[in-house]
Amino acid sequence: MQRTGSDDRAFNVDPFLESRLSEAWEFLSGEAWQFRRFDPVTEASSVFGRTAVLPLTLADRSECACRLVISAEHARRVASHLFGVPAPDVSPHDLEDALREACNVLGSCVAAGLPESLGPLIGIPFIADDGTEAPGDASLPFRAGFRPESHDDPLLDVLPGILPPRPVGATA
Amino acid sequence: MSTPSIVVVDDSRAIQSIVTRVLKGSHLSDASIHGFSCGQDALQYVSENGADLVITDWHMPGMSGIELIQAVRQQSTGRIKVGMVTSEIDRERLHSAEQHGVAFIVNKPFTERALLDAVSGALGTGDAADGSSPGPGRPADAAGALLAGVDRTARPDAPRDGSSPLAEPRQDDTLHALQEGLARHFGPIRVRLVPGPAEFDERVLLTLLVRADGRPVRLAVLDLRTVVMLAAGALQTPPAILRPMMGRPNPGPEAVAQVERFLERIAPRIAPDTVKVHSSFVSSTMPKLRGRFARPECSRTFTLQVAGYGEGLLALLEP
Repeated sequence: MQRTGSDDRAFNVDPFLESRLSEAWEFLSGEAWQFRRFDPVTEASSVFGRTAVLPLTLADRSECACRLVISAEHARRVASHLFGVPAPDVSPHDLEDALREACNVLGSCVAAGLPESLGPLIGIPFIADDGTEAPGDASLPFRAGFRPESHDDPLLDVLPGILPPRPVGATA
Repeated sequence: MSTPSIVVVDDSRAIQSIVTRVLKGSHLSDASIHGFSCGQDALQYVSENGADLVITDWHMPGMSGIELIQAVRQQSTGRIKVGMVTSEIDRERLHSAEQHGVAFIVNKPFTERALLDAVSGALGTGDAADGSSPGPGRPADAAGALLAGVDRTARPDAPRDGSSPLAEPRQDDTLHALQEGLARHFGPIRVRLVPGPAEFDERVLLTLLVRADGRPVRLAVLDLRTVVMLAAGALQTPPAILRPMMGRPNPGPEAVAQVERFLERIAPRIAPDTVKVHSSFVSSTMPKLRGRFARPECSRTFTLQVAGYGEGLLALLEP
């Protein structure tokens, strides 16, 4: 498997991934925001809100994940758009459904942009509001993040390492 | 088919909602649409009530989409059409779905048009984009519908045993050559090919594929957007640079050269006698072209969708 080196926390993604994420976000929210890549290790982020995780299994059977962190306000707007109902009418159940689907669509874009040699297989997304984060794994050096150009909500990042245990009671 | 019955299966009710809204907002507004969050419930419904089309996600807890497809097609002996709306990106898995006889695969995120084209192709209900029926000689194209979502993963080596609803279109080597050539041309950029209307702008690029005696064996007609996208794809141009070029009346000689290189590469598949190609910008209203487009048996028109770039039209005509 081709990797970018142990000191390189980035990886060779599809150069058009940012535009694909922008299209995906428009599909999910109806908002035409341009996404850009950032380094989540060196660039701080201040997003607080809901979290969903899409598990990815790589060709060598190692696991990583795409994580979506989104403010409650934006999560509600996404749910409103997806369900076609006014934001105040979005139920908590619908909100979590939309959040999982947003993570699924955005995370799949990222997975599709990874080098084919990594052979990522996508899993079933779940809500991970308890803040579980994959522990670092030196054998998986890459890490990357994506967020809108003008702000950092929502934030999508690729977590290296072993997927955290699925929270009890989480639904897919 | 007067009132099609469509079953939508996705563990995300949000996606169920979107798919239903798109279908209800189209020429399929009268369709009977039933949503399910799991494969088992959907299968039970289909067993008891039947359906014309089952649209399913891939990744679902319990019964997966591919398991549902297998069960539905076994139960209905292939009568019920099946399609997928999925975020699955693995080439082998998608190919497996093709082998199980799916009529289409639409990737999320999808456009309304891509979904409607795919569903219309599977149901044979015509051109969904504008709600009209297919014209004479322009039947719904199952292969085109399949390609609506398969992107660069589509491969032409699915079974040809006649049992698959895709068996006949898969014998269309022109379509396969185009799709494969586009996937190779655009490399990592996602590209889709769907049946498109022959509604070209005034100015188009006409490329003749010419054999040794000087007579054309195939004509390719491309709108300016397609010319620009093919050139940009060859050079891996970032979308931000390409977009301002899309409206220009003359894409330039390098863009035309890239189009010709693309057609030269697929010429052995679509026009084996070709020894050279020759391009020129012409009016789409010129009588020769209009005559060809008026005869559907002589023309195949597609919409080329390139992620990040946009859409354009491409037609292949018999001389």
